[in-house]
Amino acid sequence: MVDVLGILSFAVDFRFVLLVFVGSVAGLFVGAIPGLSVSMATALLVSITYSWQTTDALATIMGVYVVGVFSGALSAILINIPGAPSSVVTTLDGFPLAKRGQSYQALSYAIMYSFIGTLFGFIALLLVAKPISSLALRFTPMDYFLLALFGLTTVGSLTSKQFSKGLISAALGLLFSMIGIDSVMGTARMTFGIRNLQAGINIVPALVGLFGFSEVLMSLSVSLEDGEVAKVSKTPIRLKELLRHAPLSLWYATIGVFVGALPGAGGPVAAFLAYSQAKRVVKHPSVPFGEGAVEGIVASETANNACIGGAMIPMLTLAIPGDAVTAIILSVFYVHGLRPGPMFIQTSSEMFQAILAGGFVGSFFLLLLGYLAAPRISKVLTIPKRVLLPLVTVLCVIGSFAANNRSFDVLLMFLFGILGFFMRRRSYSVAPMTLAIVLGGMMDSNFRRAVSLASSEDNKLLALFGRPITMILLLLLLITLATNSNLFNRRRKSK
Amino acid sequence: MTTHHKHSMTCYEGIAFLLLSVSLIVYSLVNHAEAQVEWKQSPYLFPLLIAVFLLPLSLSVIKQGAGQCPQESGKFQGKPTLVMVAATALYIASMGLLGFLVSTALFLLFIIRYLGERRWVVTISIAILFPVVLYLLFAMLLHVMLP
Repeated sequence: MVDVLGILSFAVDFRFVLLVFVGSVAGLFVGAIPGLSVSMATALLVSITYSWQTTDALATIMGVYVVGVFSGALSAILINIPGAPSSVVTTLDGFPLAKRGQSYQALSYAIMYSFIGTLFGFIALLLVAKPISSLALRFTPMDYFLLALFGLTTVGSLTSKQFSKGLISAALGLLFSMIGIDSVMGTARMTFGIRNLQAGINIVPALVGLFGFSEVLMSLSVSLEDGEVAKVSKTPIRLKELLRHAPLSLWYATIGVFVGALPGAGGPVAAFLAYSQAKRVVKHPSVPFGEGAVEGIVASETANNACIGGAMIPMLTLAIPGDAVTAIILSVFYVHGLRPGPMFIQTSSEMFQAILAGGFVGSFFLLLLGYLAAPRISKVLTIPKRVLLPLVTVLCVIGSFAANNRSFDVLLMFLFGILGFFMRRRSYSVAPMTLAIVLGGMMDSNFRRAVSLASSEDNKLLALFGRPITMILLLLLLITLATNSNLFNRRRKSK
Repeated sequence: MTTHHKHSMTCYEGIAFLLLSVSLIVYSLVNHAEAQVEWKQSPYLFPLLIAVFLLPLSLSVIKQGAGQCPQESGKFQGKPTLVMVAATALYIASMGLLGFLVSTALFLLFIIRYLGERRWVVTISIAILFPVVLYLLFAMLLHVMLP
């Protein structure tokens, strides 16, 4: 049983709570301002918190993550531009409600159900992480390899319009992760005589480039126009009325946790699934869905926030990130010398408790900042892009340099930014590439270990794929590949 | 004209990936032979696997490009994007010569004006205050080294 007292000891530690608060305030702005994203902020934070104590870094990052995911709803409701991809569904009913002069009501529902969703997600993490870790202890190197491959194919299928493009993005990410000194033989690989590449592609500049600088270029390439902000007039809502949807929100939260735990699926998919569930389950919404139904906001916000805890489950127990932000958090662990995986909860129970405490404290700050600051944040949303984008570029430069104090990393960030920009323009999602850069090293070493172990057996194929867990994972992988190929074929046929 | 361009872009992408895949297969095989180790220990086993995996994917992209329906290209403002790329490249290059504070101030001054901010007071204030605040925050408070 996870030490609840350990979680509480973090939750009452002033320094820890203060850092979660600092992260929460940063998350409130980062999530709300279109053009800034939680993944970008987390990637920048990795470089800043590089020299910090791990618990301090985790406290800040959890604050940013929890409140940042929620605050995407603010711009979704007030200016019809989702601050984060997971808030896209919130715009469907949030903005129509705001246009009718009920923006405070829309915000109140978003805040309350984001809070419920986050809390549910972290409770699920607390309860489910240990059993999954026990199962993962039985994993062989081939199982880890297949699991990571399954994660990459899932990401490829869910984040790209075309499955093949998602897989190409993942394959390129794997290639980037191969650059540097080989961990087994100690020889330089794919460095092409460039000395700076011998240390490999550092994950921080790659992430900052792919999510930060490419975002700047994408924003510039689309439009410099800023959205019109809806006015917030404070009209109190009774708590009983607000909590009327709580029982149903638990179902949306369950969807959120489940989707979050699938590698790569993340908030946007969870919000969309929960919204379509709400449309089926709620027969008599306050107004029709799409015209300002609070039931739509409840579904979207509960599910996308519940994803946070869900995405942490595979990241902590299997070292497979559930989404881009958890991929970055995974790199925080590596930077601080920690190794997530089946033994993580046993060997680094303090870090596990810090994550849970950060999540729970962060969710309360979500509630507090949401009700106190969110209605006043509308002015910040109007920061013009012509000012915001140059400032973000400077932050990208600093962030990429600060991780290792290497000018070469700034160059890498710049190149990854341009690559990310072209990929996005041509409908190649950058998420599979990010996950592949993080997972590539682990996949390489596990694959070679599995081949080495099998080479001494009589029946090599049976040694590689003969165990029940391996067969299940292989089956899952094949099903993912087959179903996505079928879907793709069907789409093409229908055209 | 635009449609044809779009149509061929996907094909070109596929061809580029195909070339990458073939080059990588050759690279892995040649380097493996030079390394003189068994495949199970070879650093080029996994890159070879990725290259082989990339091969059918690149063919699939070429096929998609060949049979692609005409599509309108999305809204695209090329000039500001190119200027931002060039200004950032200059900014990064100048940082070693001018230092963080001066190069950042010059970069912000130029790019904010270029992107359309007409008020000099706002532009100059941001160009001076932002690098100074960042310097104090990173270098002094967080003890992070700056270029």
